Amino acid sequence: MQRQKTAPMHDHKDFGPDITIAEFQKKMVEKHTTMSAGHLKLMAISGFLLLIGIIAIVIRATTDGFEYRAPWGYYAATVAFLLTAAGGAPLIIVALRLTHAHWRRPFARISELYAAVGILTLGLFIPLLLLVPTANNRFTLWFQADNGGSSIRIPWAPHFWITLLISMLVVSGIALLLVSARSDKANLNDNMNKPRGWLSKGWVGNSKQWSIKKGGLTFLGACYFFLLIGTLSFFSVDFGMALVPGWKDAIFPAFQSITGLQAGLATVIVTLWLVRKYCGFEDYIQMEHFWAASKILLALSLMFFYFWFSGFIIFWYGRLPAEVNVLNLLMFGPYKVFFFSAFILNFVAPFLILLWNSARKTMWGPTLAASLILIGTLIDKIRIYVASYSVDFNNSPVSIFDHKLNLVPAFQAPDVIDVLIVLGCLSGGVFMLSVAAKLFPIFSLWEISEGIKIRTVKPYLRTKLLILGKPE
Amino acid sequence: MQQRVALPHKQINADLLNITLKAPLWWWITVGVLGLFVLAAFSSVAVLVNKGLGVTGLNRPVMWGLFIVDFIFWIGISHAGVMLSAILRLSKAEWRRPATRAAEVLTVLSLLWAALHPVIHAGRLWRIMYWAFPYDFSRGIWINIRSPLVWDPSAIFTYLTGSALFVIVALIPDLAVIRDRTTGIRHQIYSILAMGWRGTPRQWKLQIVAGFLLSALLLPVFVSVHSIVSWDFAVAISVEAWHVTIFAPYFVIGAVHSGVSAVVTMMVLMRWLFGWHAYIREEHIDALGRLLIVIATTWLYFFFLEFSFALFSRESQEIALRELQVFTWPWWPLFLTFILAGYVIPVGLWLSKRVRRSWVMMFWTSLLVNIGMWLERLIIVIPGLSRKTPFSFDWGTYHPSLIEVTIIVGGYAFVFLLLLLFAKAFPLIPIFDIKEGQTLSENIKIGRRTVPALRVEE
Repeated sequence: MQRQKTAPMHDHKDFGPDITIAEFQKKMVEKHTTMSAGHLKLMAISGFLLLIGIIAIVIRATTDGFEYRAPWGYYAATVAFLLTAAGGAPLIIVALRLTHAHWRRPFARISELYAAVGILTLGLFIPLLLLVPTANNRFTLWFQADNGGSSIRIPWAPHFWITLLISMLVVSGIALLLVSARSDKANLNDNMNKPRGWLSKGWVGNSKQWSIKKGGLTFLGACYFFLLIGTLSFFSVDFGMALVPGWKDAIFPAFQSITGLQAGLATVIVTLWLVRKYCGFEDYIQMEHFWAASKILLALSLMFFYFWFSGFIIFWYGRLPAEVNVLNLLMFGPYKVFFFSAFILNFVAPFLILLWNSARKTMWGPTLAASLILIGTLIDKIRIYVASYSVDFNNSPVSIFDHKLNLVPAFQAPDVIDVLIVLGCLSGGVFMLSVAAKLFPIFSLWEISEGIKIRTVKPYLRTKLLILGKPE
Repeated sequence: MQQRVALPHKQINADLLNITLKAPLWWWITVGVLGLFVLAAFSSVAVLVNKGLGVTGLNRPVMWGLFIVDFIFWIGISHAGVMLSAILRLSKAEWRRPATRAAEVLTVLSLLWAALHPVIHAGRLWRIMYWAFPYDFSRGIWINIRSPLVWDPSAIFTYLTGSALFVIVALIPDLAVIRDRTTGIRHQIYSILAMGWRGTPRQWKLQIVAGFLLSALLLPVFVSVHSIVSWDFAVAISVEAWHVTIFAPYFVIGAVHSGVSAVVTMMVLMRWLFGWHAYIREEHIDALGRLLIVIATTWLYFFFLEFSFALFSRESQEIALRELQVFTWPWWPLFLTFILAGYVIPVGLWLSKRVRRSWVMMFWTSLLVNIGMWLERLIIVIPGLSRKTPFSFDWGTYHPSLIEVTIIVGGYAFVFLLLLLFAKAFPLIPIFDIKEGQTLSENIKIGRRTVPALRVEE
């Protein structure tokens, strides 16, 4: 392909890589056709650890059963972490496409590939259904009314509805990936002289197809957004908050949604850094991408604090006995180390790193902050879910139907099985991602090509300026 | 697609200073009529001060009435300025340019009026000092700094100071333009206000840095103001439906919804009154419409959480209050209107691009949002207080008096009057920002099409 006339060559370093669409596609074909030893090793190790994790889950089920929730706290925390971090990742590109952010392009496919992890999350979620009682006569978001002798109940709540929500989330995420990757698969197949597969069959790239594709991405993006917020909200309430008597915290679902966005962006940033470092894409992933993402990460870290504080001050100021006990359980009691660690890793450290433009304007600064956020999110989920599940154990004096937590249960330390479950499930996420990266190109070819087309450098007065087309 | 209009700088000056340099007759008439409303409002305040709070409909247990409802409403409107100006400036959204000044000025003026509400509500205005300042050292009586009622004035006045500085910093280059086009005493006044602006690179750099710094500094203040207003309610444990953890972000996003809608209303009015058709274009209200869909939907999510968590614990007191709000006369029609006007009708219509690009529709739908949001505050404040609780020993109902209604209506006239006065003295669209937008705009050819483009600054 000829070099694009609208994207003239320039040698100014600040304007990013000097690449043509043809060069980029050639590189992508090369990378996609050959599977590196590193990729193979990653798939093998993560697959093995996933297997160990599954065995550990089976051992937990056979030794402890599903009668009490306490032994399953770490498992629930891991599912919540996967739902938050991997579930939040595809939303990043949905939001960036909506705002027409030019710097989004290298993030696009990496973000979409995380939809594949959703399949694993859905599978891991199923055992949790056996641990949670129906919504009848307990704290729940699923509407219940008693009027004289008759009562109104939403049938199969919460089990059926939350399963439906997560399933729809996974389906919409996969659909988002397929719709986005269809033209890329056609492009790669043609360039590799391979026959078209079922996905790319019939793609010729006419105006109608592009229009349907872009409309589909907008629609599926909107669906994914609402499904993710709904899933995170209902999951955090039905499988977390509602299991602790007296914990009535309206901001908690919104707080969990915010952590979903924060962890989702952190996941994508860390993955982008790894892809740049180990997959040979140094020319295509630049500091400007990390810099732009870091501003949003900073805003989300501040929102983490704001949402946490908005909930905390109401309980702390009100000093109602039920609320004081909830604070003791989650923040200042047996899980205080977890709480303060998560607080530092999710807010204090990223804030201090990203506050400085000199750190934001690097590749390591945002990546370090994102890594800390991911560790912090996992710790935060452990704090929330292990604490919530620890209320229900053999001979527990507290019932899920109580209106107040009368006794703060002791710290639930992880055993070997818990460690293997956490490690296996997290590795499972990596395994799903590496499989998806084999099936689909790791960069969105059509979006990066579009970016090259609408970008040019022109002289202005005594300098040169970057010109960005705004066709939308 | 942007509808870019190439405008010479000379024409921009002439168009945007048309009202400032020579006010038309309608301006004088409107100012006069609004002045009468304001006079009526301040006369009512005088009666209230003279007779005491008995002239209002306030009663036990409804001790907070329309003044507090309107206070929250105006604080909400004030969130337009920072939301639009600071966030859009930091994110370098190109379509911000004609909207920022109007939003910033609306912030300052609505804050001014909002800050008067608690003072008027006190009845005996001089007693405010007991509430906000230490007054009797010998007896060791101090203000209760643990009360959100004391945090409130601190936040509001910090926000007011910051917002005023924000307006002033952005005004300086435009003041110099007016200075160079006036004579006599006006020239002297504008010379002082322009602070020696000559448009040197150093002055521009300082102005831009100050704008960015103020944007970044004002953002936390902006969030804290309405959060603290919400904590006036939420830290109380005695009123059902107030002790809710979601209140702070719920109030903030509601305020942004209300404020941005007010900016849309104002932009349509400015375009109509001042003839700024080339500056306020369909692409601008379209962008604001899309932004409002996102804001309104986020607000709806928080509203859902606030409402459903009232039913979450299945406590009879909470359920009874929600029944009062949703099913009982006179609240149910107000609740229905609030939901329809605050979300269902406007957002339903905004989904259509044709509506988002219609001046008439955007005017009425944005106005509808603010009717809905005012009712939302009413439904939060009054039914919550009017329910008998174990600790309310008196029992009364609330009907706003004519004095209260006059003050509330006068408040709208007060803000609109000050806006018109501001427009007479200063341009309501930043001249320098529009010129910058013109300079940064460019066209590039992609294939066979020429598309609008932007010169990127860094």
